[in-house]
Amino acid sequence: MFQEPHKFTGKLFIVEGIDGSGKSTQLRLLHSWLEAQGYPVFMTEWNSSQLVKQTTKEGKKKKTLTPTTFSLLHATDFADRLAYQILPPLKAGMIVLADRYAYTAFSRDVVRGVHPSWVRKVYDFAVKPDLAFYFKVPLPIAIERILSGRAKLKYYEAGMDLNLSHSLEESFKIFQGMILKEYDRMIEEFGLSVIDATLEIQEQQEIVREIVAENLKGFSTKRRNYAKRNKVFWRRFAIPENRRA
Amino acid sequence: MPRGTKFFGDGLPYLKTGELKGKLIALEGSDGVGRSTQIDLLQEWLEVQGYGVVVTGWTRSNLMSRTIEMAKNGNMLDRMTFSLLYATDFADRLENQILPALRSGFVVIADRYIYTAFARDAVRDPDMRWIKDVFGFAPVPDLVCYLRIDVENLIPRVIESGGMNYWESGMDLHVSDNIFDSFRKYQKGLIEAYDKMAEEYGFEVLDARRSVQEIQEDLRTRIESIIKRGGPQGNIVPLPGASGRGKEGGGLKTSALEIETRIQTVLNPVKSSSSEGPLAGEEKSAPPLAGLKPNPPREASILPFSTGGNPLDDFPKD
Repeated sequence: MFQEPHKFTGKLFIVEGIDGSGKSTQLRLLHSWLEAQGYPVFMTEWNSSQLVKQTTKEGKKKKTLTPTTFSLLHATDFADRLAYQILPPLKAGMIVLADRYAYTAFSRDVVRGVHPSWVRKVYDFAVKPDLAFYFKVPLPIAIERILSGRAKLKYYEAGMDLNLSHSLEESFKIFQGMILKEYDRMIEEFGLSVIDATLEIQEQQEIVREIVAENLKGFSTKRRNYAKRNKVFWRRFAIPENRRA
Repeated sequence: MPRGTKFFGDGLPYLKTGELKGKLIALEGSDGVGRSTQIDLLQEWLEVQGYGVVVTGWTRSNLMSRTIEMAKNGNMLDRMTFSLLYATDFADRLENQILPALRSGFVVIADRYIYTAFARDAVRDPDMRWIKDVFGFAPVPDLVCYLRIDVENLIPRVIESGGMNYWESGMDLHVSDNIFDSFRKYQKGLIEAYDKMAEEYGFEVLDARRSVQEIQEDLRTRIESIIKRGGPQGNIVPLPGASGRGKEGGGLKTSALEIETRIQTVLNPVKSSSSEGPLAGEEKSAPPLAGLKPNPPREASILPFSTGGNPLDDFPKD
């Protein structure tokens, strides 16, 4: 299922990249741009569902998570968000923007040690994105961005569970380097759109918008009546183009 | 991948388990069929022989048990999310409980195994490829005992022991607007799924309409042969200093009277942990059925059960 394009009327655009690649910034900018044009947009973030939040938090705190439970917890989170946050807007003809997608699992969980083919099969129920942007950045730049801007690295974030190094910072560097390699491997496998994340923020955004605009040609479920608060209640629901008389 | 351990799929590539000295025995069967009662008896029996026993229960992991309870009580969950919650729970128990126990030579009794997830998923979507892939990290048990009951015999038991609940009735499938019909259809679907798997995976099928004692004897015979068989992982040895009752030949044989006594001690004391509830009505609710053959005695070297004809033939087609 993950291999084939979806049949929903909406659009799914996702961003991927290692920590410090600047992908979230780019997604926010894309969001504003799309909304300004009148598209109904819905945002969803990796690992944000309420269902397993507490469990993940506890497991991380107690450090009892294994590569497999770590992977499955994220898959559960994803399944829940797919059912509640991704599929409904897609079916409603909206644009869904996802900060990280299954590819995050394919890189991170595989580095942790789960079987690459297993984790791909687990996510087989995922919807294939219309566009998947990969913000490619050399390791030193990403590390520099993270270490200067963030308070303190966390245990799992730094990949400390892999026993790569006793130093949090050193472990983080090695871990991110390994993830980067997995991402690079996926570019071809999944046809990711690579964005050079060393460019200036506006330059990157320009490229992203160009690609998105190209993809949105012929797509016109723009916000119409419902935002205008017409008094006739049914006008609040956008009617797809092809259903109009 | 640990040597000698067979997995359903891709396994756990990052894990270097040593030799697994213990035995993994799974008990499957419908809700209310009496699994916990049987497991209590088995545990005691094995421990008396000096075997270390670990019982692991479905959805009972430290990591997930509360989340699963919460999820069942609250939100509507879709098929994938539910199955993944189960998978996470199982993975946690596997790595933090089951594998360590097997490594140290315990007999691990699993109260439900991954086939439970397969069955409930099969009822919701006949294509089971995905769910089987997800559980590809699960080791293949040494023995799977399937306590089989038909839905008509199951219903009175479940009602006696506390009634039908929402999930056991598959109410989320909306096959009926009342719990009785829903329970009936859903459990019937599950039994069908189990029956199919029984053939596919070679379960030992046990007729669960019999008395607690008869089922227990049957279970013991089958488990005995697994524990003594050795196989690639060799024999497991009872703990030293354990009661050496009949060490040579028939060391695990227990008289019917002994089983009866154990049943009394397990069933009678104040006991609420069993989700199946009291099975005092066992005799009553499992009337002797015409045409039901007793299970043939088994040799120590067990043959694959498929060679003895289809054990499901004994059951009326629901």
